[in-house]
Amino acid sequence: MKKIMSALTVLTLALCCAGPAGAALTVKDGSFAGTHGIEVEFLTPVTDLENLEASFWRVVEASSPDIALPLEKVETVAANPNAVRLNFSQNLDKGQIHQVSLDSPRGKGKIDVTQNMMAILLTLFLSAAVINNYVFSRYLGLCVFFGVSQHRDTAVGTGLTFTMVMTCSGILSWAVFQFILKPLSLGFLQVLVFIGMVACLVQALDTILRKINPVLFKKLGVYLVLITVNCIILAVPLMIADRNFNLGESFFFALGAGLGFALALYLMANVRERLTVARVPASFQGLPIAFIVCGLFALAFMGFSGLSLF
Amino acid sequence: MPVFQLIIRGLLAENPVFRLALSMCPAVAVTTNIKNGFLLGCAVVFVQVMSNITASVLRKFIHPRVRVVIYTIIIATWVSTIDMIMSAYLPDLYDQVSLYIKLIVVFAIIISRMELFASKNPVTPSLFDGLGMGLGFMFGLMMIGAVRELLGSGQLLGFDILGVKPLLIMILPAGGFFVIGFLMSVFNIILKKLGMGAPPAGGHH
Amino acid sequence: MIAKQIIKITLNLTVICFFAGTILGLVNMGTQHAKEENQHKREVLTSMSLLGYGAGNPAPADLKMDKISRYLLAVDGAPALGYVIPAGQGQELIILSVEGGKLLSIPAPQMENPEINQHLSQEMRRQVSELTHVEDYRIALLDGKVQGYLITGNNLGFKANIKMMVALNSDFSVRGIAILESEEDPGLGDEAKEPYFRNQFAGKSAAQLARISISKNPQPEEYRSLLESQPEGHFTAEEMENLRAVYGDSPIYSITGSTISSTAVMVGVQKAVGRFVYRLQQVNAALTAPSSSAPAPEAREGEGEGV
Repeated sequence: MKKIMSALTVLTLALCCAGPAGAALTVKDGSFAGTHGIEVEFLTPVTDLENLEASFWRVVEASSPDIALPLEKVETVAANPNAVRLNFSQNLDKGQIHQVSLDSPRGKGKIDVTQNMMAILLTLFLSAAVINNYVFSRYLGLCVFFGVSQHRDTAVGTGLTFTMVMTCSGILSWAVFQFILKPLSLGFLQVLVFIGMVACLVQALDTILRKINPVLFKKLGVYLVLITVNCIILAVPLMIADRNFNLGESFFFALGAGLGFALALYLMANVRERLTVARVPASFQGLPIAFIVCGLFALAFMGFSGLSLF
Repeated sequence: MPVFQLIIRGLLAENPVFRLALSMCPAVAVTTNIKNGFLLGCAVVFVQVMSNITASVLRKFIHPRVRVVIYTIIIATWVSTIDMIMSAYLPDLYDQVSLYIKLIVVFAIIISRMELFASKNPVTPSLFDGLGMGLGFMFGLMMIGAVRELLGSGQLLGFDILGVKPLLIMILPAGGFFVIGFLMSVFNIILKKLGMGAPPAGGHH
Repeated sequence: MIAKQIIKITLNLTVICFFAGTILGLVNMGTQHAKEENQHKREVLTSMSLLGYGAGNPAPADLKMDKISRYLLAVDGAPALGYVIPAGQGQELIILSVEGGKLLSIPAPQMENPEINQHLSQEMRRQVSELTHVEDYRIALLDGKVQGYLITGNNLGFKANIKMMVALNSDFSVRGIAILESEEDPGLGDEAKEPYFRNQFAGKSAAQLARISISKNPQPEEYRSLLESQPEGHFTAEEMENLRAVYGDSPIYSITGSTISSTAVMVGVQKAVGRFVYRLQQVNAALTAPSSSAPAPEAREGEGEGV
């Protein structure tokens, strides 16, 4: 609704200004550029920067319309002759909607700038899969992790099954939380409801898989049971409820968690297969050396912290 | 089995953290210092004991085909209870371990004790079996916590002992894994000397 | 036989679930009250501590806490700011345009947000819409004179949102900060709660606060010991003046290994203080400016000596 309104406003303004002022500038689109900038695109190429200097712009966060953000400089963008880049003297809070309005002799315009939806979702995905990997950074799922990571094929099997169940459970828990727990203020039943939901889901998948694809069931069926005891399968719904994600965010978050776990399993399995033929001291054999290897992986994964691609 | 032996078994030979390697998730996350380890240990003792008691009291009424589901419901109830109590009366301490207390529900250790012991024995031995396992768990967590706190922030229970922070890595996840691995091997050596033999099927859940 | 089994099992499960739900419901009711009470006590304790009161220096009985509530609303479709301020014996809702000019002033006795909507007359409701409560600013008054301001701010830290409370003196210099909520790593981002980081903000004037930045250099030893000499941040007036004179322009030294968290806290404090000072000025200007639409403003108790 708002988008249609602003589009109509822009069009009307364009029609009004287009006549007498010659080729007036019409604001088309805007997006964040880096940590300090907003890139604004016009319908026509930008020829005179003097009419677009900082004093003609007003940029505010939607939640604080009275605070004009400190715009320092407006520059042209080499890659796009139709665009200018607004540089601010402080970091922009990309989680907020920014309202950009232009009031210059060459034209007026107003747009809302938000973070790209895909960027948000992919950041969430990466965060769950790699940056805050559930095994190496949050130390969850260890229960199953050490039991299953001894051979590569079991690792792959568990990883894939787990991702599948995790994604379904992520979506289901979003639905249950939004439509049942939140409206009825039954937040304190979170734990009970989620674990019940997971158990039912696993049981349902078990039955469905048995009927639909017996071959697949033979290969992966045994891992389904292990999933119910996996800490991550409960941690993800709890986090989704805690952070109040929407459907898309829940889906990508759960998918990232599942794939991150699968990745961790696969890496661990490769190493442990080699450990069986290595010379390990007696008291370290089995679990202790596995833990130490896990620690080394955790160290490596720490390198991802602070990673921000979007 | 006499009560004392039940507790000792939980503490040493079948210590859930170091020997059975069950429910490791919180062992790494929560043990950045002794206080957190103690807090989670208390929660586990509470849940284990109450669940054991409940399972033992209801053992004649639980239908065998749905016993796992019912055990899970019982555990979830007690976990939610201790979660709510802690968040109301111990908010500062609770903040750091909040997620992990909720995850007690998935601890294989609790369900396996209910299945193996509480469902077949009267209330009092079940209580002490639960106590033993819970205390063993708390003991394991506090030990890991002590090592990590001492080496990581030079403190014990908040009191400055070393005056410097030797290895900050100890507080991070990697350090947790290292410490557990080393402590496990130490446990193996000690128990082998005491003649308690190899850990029972290590590395399952 | 199978049907009987199923019925038995279902009955079994239902009874157990019912009991589980009942127990949980009872525990919830019992603990909810305690939880809210404890939370309120913590907030009061933090606020008092930030203002300089504590066990050794209890708050005087006639210390009054006034509140300014900020609302976002729309007047005839255009966004506007609303402030509920104390006025005489009751309260008043003053609505400012985005640029700061006064639009409306509505007396609103005994209004407890966020139920303001109910107190707006029918006519008002046609103009004013989309009323949302954003935050509260608290003013500590003693005998009508401003002792300090308490504001909250938040900013995305390394792991999750960090929520902080800032105490300002009547001249808007920082008295101290407290971290209310954070999920940072212990030993790293969590160290923001320690005196050697937290007290760095004490003594800085509003102008100095706006200028400083983060420094990754190690904190000078004497600065650190000075900050840790008062773990609660209860510096005396001379110590505050000393901090302002000597360290007012020094940067905020970040916690070792947690530049992101440290910067987040600093930027959060800067934004909160900067915006509060600006907004309070707007409200004061609107109150003192002559206006034809509203009744003459009554004498307000200690609306802050403005700047």
